Amino acid sequence: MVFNAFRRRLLLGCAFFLGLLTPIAAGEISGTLSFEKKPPSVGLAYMADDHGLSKSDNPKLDQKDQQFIQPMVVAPVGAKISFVNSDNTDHNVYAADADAGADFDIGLASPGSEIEQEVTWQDDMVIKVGCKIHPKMRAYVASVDSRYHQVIEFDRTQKTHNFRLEVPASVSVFRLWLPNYEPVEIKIEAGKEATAQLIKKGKIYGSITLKRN
Amino acid sequence: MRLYNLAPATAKAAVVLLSLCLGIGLFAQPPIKTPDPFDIEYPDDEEPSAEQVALGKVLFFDKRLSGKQNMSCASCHNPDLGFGDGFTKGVGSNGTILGRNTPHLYNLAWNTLFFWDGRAASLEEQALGPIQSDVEMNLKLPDLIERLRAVPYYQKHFAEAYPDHQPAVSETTIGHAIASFERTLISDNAPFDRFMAGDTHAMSDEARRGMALFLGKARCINCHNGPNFTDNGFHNIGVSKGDDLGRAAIQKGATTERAFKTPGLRNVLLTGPYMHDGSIGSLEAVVRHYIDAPKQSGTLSPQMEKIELSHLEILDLVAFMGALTDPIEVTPPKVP
Ligand code: HEC
Ligand code: HEC
Repeated sequence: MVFNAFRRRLLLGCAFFLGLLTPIAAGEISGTLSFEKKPPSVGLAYMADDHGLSKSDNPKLDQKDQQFIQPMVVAPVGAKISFVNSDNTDHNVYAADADAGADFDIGLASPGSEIEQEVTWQDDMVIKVGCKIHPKMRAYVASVDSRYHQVIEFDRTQKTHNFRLEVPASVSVFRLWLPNYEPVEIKIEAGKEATAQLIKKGKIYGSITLKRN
Repeated sequence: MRLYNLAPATAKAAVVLLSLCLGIGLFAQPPIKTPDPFDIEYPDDEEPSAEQVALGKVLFFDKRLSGKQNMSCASCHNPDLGFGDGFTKGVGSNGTILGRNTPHLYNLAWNTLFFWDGRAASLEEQALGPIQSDVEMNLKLPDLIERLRAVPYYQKHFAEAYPDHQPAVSETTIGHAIASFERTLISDNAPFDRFMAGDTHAMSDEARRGMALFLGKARCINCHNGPNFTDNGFHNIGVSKGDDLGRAAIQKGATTERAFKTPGLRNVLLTGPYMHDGSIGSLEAVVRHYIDAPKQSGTLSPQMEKIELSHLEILDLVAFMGALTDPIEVTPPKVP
């Protein structure tokens, strides 16, 4: 994510110099998530009305200590995800998500191997990937093409979490995805605040507050 | 001066630590340790109430859960037999011999998939399986619900334990109560746990040597890792030679053929006979399997490394497994 933000700034900077783009007033959305119980392990916040994320980034999803190192990667349709096995044991990454049309199995991946998988399934979906040998391993792939996104890793001992998302003036549709929760969509303009409930299986489990400067 | 005196001991400790690190691949496996209740994933993150657990315990021991009213969960998962039955393979309520060995139920609160082939995704889902299975308890769920509703004790206690559920006695609440009881079957005070907490006398010399072998050259740690000595994973270790394809019957793939779930090893001394088919009678024979199997077949999990152990080392490993013993006393409840 840090890399993405840096690259974005670099791109914006170049565009500014070349005079290809009128300078955009970069703003920020700050958010607070409050959970009544243990939070989920990970979430994704993104601006759904941007579609500029490059397909040629080849995000990596690494495995070590019988875990996926990143809880989630963001990879737009057409991008190739690299499954890297940095562990000293074999893994077998797969996904089977009928709703998203995602069904792949990279087979036996020995320590040190790197296997690519193209995102060929539906746009704007979050799918679960797992390991056929170690079912406790879990990560997510978001087929999202927004440059303005942030993967939020939750410290599960804390009930309140803050995040910030840098956003240009051109976008206003904020979305939050949390595993097993109903997705949240909030349209938010500069200078405004908004709140929404976090709902899982029809029950309220927390809330989100946004503030855009 | 003082520092100087300590130095040799510190250096020695550093060498020991270093060789231990190298032996277990720089701590690359989830470490063996005492399990942490914080890591238990309850459905919807709700810890069950004491009433729900107590109700689940009564159901676990109630023979009403079988068609002929002659068998409870505890008939096969007998608390006095390591929550197993001591048989090679389970025996159903009408005498049918089942396809697999009855597994223990220790520390399943931390487990992900259930049954030897992982076909159940939760304890709630699992609990309703044996009740309906025609070779196990052989009772249709609507009939069970009707039976339970006719008992005043259950009317009262389901209503108290599940005030938000209408009707209180249902598939959901029966599964939830039994699973909630099962999640309390926690064994976490074995000599190994006391040793890890700093009581160096808690484990014998044999067991300590066995632990070093377990983590080191015997490679048990490849699969029996984490707080409950299981990666919760599926491996072909060369036990099944017949037509039980294990995990592959549930999920196809290059790595699932004849793969079975790695059982947790807490209280393993109490849970024989061993393996999904109950084909190995003693822990010593289990260790010999790990020496022999990689020499015989080429299609095993790559984590089944070729190992050599002397007779004494085998006994040390068995002593270490013995140090994972912390039986759970369950007083059978009064079944109404
Ligand atoms: C007739 C004997 C028998 C009865 C009765 C029985 N079980 Fe089992 N149980 C087994 C066998 C055999 C297996 C393994 C089957 C397999 O993996 O295919 C098993 C597996 C399990 C597992 C999975 C354990 C693991 O490590 O994956 C759980 C949990 C369990 N039983 C709970 C119960 C409960 C709860 C009941 C009562 C509702 C019950 N059993 C009744 C024989 C029995
Ligand atoms: C490749 C992974 C792997 C390695 C390495 C491994 N195990 Fe296992 N272990 C398993 C699996 C999987 C099973 C169940 C196999 C079956 O039933 O087919 C098992 C079963 C067992 C059992 C029987 C438990 C029961 O309740 O039935 C014991 C005891 C055991 N292993 C001890 C050891 C020891 C000691 C070592 C090291 C010498 C070791 N294992 C190495 C995966 C492994």
